[in-house]
Amino acid sequence: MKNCIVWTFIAILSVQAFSQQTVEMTWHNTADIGIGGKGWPNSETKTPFDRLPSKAQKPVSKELWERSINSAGLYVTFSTDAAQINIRWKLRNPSISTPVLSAASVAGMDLYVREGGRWTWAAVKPPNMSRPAGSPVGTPPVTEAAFVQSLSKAEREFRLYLPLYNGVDRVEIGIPKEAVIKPVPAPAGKPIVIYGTSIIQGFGASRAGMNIGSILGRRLNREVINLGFSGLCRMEPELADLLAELDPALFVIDCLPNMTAEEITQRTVNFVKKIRSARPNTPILMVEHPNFAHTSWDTEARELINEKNAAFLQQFNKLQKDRVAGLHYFKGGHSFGEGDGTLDGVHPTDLGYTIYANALEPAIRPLLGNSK
Amino acid sequence: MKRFLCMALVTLFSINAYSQQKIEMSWYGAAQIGIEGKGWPDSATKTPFYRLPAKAESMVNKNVWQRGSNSAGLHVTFTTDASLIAVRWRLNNPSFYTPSLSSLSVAGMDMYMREADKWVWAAAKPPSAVRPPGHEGAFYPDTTTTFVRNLSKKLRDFRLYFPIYNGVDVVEIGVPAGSRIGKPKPDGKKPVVIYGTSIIQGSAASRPGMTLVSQLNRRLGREVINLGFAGLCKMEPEMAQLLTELDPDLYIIDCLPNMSFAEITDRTFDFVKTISAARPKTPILIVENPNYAQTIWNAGTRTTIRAKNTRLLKEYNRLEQAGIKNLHYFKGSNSYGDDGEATFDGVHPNDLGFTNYANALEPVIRGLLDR
Repeated sequence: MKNCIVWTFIAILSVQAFSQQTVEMTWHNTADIGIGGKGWPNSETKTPFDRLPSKAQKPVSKELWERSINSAGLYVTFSTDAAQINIRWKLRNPSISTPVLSAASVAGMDLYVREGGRWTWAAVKPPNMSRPAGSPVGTPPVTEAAFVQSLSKAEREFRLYLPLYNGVDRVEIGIPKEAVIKPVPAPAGKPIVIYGTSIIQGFGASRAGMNIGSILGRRLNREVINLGFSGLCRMEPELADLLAELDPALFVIDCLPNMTAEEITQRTVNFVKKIRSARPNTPILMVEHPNFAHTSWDTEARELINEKNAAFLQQFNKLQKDRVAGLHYFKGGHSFGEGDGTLDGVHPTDLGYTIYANALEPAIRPLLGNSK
Repeated sequence: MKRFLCMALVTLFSINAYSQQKIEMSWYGAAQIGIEGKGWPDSATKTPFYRLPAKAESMVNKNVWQRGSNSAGLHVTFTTDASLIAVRWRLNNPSFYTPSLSSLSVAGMDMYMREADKWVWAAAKPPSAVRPPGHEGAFYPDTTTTFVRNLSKKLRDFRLYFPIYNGVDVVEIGVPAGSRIGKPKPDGKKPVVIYGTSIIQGSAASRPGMTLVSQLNRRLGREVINLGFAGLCKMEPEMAQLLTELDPDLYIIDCLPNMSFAEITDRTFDFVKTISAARPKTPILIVENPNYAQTIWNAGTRTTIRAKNTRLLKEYNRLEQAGIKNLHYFKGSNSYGDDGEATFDGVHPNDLGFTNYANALEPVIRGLLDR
């Protein structure tokens, strides 16, 4: 029990009634356990649940900064012998669903457990649908829910994925008073950084654990930093500067759905070169635009995608000619399957994310080969 | 072009503003084109959009009756050369989303198109949640929206899947005035009937076309009647009675997640015997409880599911011993795949799980249909 932390933060003791039985719970702040999936340490971010460092607020656009407060891809990994695990989370934004995304998908929490060495799904909970009683209109919901109960007495590792399209102010884990909770060190190996669009942020996943970054993180047993910014992945120079600060095993750049062919031609070379000069030895995987579901019959959409990919490949070839080393190219094609893998043509469902992960995983694995 | 309807129905002409340009639209009632995925004809149902016949109202319990008005599995197939297709649908229930299900999933419409003889996805739209100004009280969303546009001039088949967890009392297809619209030639095959739970009804599919039933409908090229009743698939005698009225090529009975141990033991034998007595030549596929995602680590759930399946198998063996023919048994161990990722909440498949389930069932069903 050497790792057992004598929690130096305020552990709030409360008596909660769950399923007719009263369990005295101790609450542990996840920020103190450690947030995974972050590119920058807590000391550099405004809150422990921000994806970009505080200094980024100035150079990046206001919209992008707001998206960076979404906790997509952030998670906390812990081990406990608790028979029951409750989670309490306070959202940052009162908007918790869209017509095509459930509240569980936008602002819910998703828990996995490691069983036989493999991460397997354990429980998902949506947020409360209403603001706290008595609070003013526009106050984001606070949710408290039992995720798992009646577990046999054994120490297990859990991973809790935070909301995809909302942010959190505070996330606490409640366990019975006598149970012990410990942080789990991040897996060996440098992380993978994915810079991308809503498809990377996770739009269309039914729950937080089913976005592509989270799926790859479990499969590769490696930290994946989700820098997906819905509608805003545009290879701006300030984003290249930020990415260059990170020291991952691999950069994945998957921006094309948010860019025009003209932007692709104008920005790709400079963007990649900037990262390359800061990180001369880190492989960079440049990902083409996937075929959207409707491209089988929508010739206009297909032509637009072909045009973007042609522009992208041209820039890739240019970079190769300029002898920029360590670049790799991923063909788009049927990344989401051949038609049924999306919600709306563009955004994968859990089926599409799984197909995308199946396609990307073998391309990524060999690039991690020599990185420890 | 004999099949083109000189639609003898009320065609509403209206001027609609679509994408900044005014197009004169003709509207066609889906009911007049013909609702598919129904067990009973329009003459026997209260409205064309009910899954159970009107007489069932006095036979089944109130909850089953209400679920019967959810339009899960219902769809309309039409042919048109329109360059733009709009759909209007009015819901019959004010509740159109849950914390876990989007309004697209609960009450949206999903359109497929036949391209080179294959059904491919075309467009999905959620209901409009905008209350008309000044509207008070219960609100039944009435949505009109464009699904596809800028199509080249060519006849194509479309299929529109109706809401999974809500019902409709109006569905209209809008095409630019002067476009042809008609009904494609029927497939000429008897349907498959699936009696089941929320999993069959389609809980957690991202859109109506992704339920197990809708996927099988496209893959098998024949109607699949969705008699999934969330939480209420309990093999009551009156449900057996209703099922015997249908004349499908195959019955699938997939109720275990909703039934207690005692119910499985008490009801399976009589339920299956009633159907088999009425339809002795129709194969009946009896489906085990699927392995839920959490059975990988939750021994309690695993034990419960095994105990249910053991009881089902026992009843199946009893039925065989009693000389009931044409019974078939489907093991539930791998229905959703084996990696635990294929459900939303452990029990209800996500689109991945419905696809895995269809992959597992399809070859078994094909084998029974080819006999």
